[in-house]
Amino acid sequence: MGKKKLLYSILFTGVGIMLAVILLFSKEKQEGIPTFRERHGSLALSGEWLNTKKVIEGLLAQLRKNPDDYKAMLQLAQAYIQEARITGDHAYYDKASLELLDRILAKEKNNFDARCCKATVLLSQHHFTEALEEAKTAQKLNEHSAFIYGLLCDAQLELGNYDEAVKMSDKMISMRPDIRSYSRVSYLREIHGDMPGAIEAMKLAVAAGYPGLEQTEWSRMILAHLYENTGMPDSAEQQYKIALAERPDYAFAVAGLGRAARMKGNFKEAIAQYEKAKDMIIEYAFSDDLTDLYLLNNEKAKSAASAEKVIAMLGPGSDDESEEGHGHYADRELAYAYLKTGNTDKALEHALTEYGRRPMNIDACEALAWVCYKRSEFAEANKLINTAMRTNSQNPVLLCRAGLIKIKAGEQAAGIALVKKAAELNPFMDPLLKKEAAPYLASK
Amino acid sequence: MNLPDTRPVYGKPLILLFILCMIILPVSLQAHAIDLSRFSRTEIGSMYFELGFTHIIPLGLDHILFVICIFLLNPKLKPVIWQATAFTVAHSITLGLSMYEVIVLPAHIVEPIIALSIVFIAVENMITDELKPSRIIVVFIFGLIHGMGFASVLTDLGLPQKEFVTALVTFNAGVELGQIAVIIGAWLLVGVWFSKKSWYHKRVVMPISLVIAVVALWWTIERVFF
Repeated sequence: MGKKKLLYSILFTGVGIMLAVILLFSKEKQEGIPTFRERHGSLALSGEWLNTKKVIEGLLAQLRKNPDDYKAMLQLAQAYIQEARITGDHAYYDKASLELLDRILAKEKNNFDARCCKATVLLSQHHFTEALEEAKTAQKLNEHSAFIYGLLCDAQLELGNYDEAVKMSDKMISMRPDIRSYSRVSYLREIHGDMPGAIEAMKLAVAAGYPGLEQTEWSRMILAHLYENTGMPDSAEQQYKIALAERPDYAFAVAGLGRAARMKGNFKEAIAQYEKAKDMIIEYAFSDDLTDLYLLNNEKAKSAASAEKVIAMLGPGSDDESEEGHGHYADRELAYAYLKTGNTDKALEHALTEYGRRPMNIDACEALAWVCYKRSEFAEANKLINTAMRTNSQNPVLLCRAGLIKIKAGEQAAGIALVKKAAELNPFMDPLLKKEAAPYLASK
Repeated sequence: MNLPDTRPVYGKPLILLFILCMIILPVSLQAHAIDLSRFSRTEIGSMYFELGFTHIIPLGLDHILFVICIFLLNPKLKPVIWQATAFTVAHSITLGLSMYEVIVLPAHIVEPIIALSIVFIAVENMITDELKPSRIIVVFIFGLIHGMGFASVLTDLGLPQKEFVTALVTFNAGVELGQIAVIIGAWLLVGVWFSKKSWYHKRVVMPISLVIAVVALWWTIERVFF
């Protein structure tokens, strides 16, 4: 009995000492701060990179000195968000900025700016429902920020809650008419079929931005797309040229010139421009367009290789939510990419995944409808395309696809009318799609 | 008279391998970044139930060892149920309170104490072969700490705002099922065969508890200093 008591005394003393050690010495493990990646090629040559790099290095130094400097941490996260936009390296920078933002929010859960930034990154990763929740949390912290209504607008829009998105956009522009709010108004007008209104708003957005800044030139790219979709390729090309004058080596403008060349039927020139753009930044869309261009230029092997490259860029890590994957949802893009390789089973799998996430979004419905069409499931495709067209979008590609689907689903007259309308709105539409629609364009 | 050592020659390396696995395994637990709010209530429920279960089997080796320690000393139904109930009630209380941020204890304090709780129970198993009523109080107190550990994991995983309660309840239910599975497994492996043997404490409880105590002590040190 005495021995047992002694052993218990030793046990309690030992555990007591260990407990004291834990309370005194156990410190929160500080993980390393994610660092930046060097830019390469023409992106590295600009003066902007030298300044950005200097700022990032300064912030990293501050954080090394004081790991609890959450102001510097937030600035670093913001810098990484911007780097993702510029370099296209969302896989790395989105993850890095999320890591920083989560660290801030673990300590300062009411940090409004960090919440907004997190919602921004989640939107970039296509985690729309989660972004909406984050933005709503931020809204409770500060109802008087126009920026938060922009985030709410984006999330609602991507989830297909268009009425709510319009409300948020109206609220945003009433608080702060600027490049960001005009851009959102433009997109909402576009998907509601008001193309002149969309162009007008996007012109205002471009005018509100400082020429040469990435955000301004990105808005200019959207303006050019609007011109393309309304059959004004010359105006679009002019915008690409202005963008390149304001921001030399802007990859999206280089690709824009490629698109302009494609519209003129100059596929060799288009390929050259796209290849140049592809080497500048990481952007799957350039390789995706190249897949079509190689095909149009009778380079089938290159086209097939490019299609495989797109899939490799988007997956399998793209939909991997683990630490190893970059956490981006890219199922809609993968669905289209698999269609180009002829793998309609995989295309369906991804289109359904995207549809499952946001069944009311017109783009998700369009993607699934198009996959169903390619699988000859016309009735299902027709149902889906009706949902995709419910906002009255006048996007020529959507109209053309809808027309083809309706023709096959037995709505011949309505289908032909849609196909013709698409060609009328944009005579320079995607040649591959136009080729598919050609038999119906000639019919009376 | 000393009994001859009849253990097979591979016994020692296996024990070393077992210890090594137990030391390494908890490190593999990683948080995921999943868009939760796109799921329905049923999906959330089943997802968090599964997460709760997998947090015990196979990821929660520390919790498994704690439950095994509880079981080992007196592997009979009644005492095991009493201790398991005390543990469940306790960790449910702190899990709920932590998730609602009523109590906040940082993970760097909670995690080493969880490891220390295993050391305590394992060493106590070696000191005594009788189950005292005070054991239930001790288990309850440690259950409170383990609940905060579960909360920390659940926070890392993220909880959907809309289905907060569903996720919380189903996660806890998953944890419970995991614990019951451990108890049943331990009973089938050890309890059925050896619990009534005269040498049960000396040859079963003592060596297993010793191994668990060593591993848990290492975890305690590791979680504080490394």
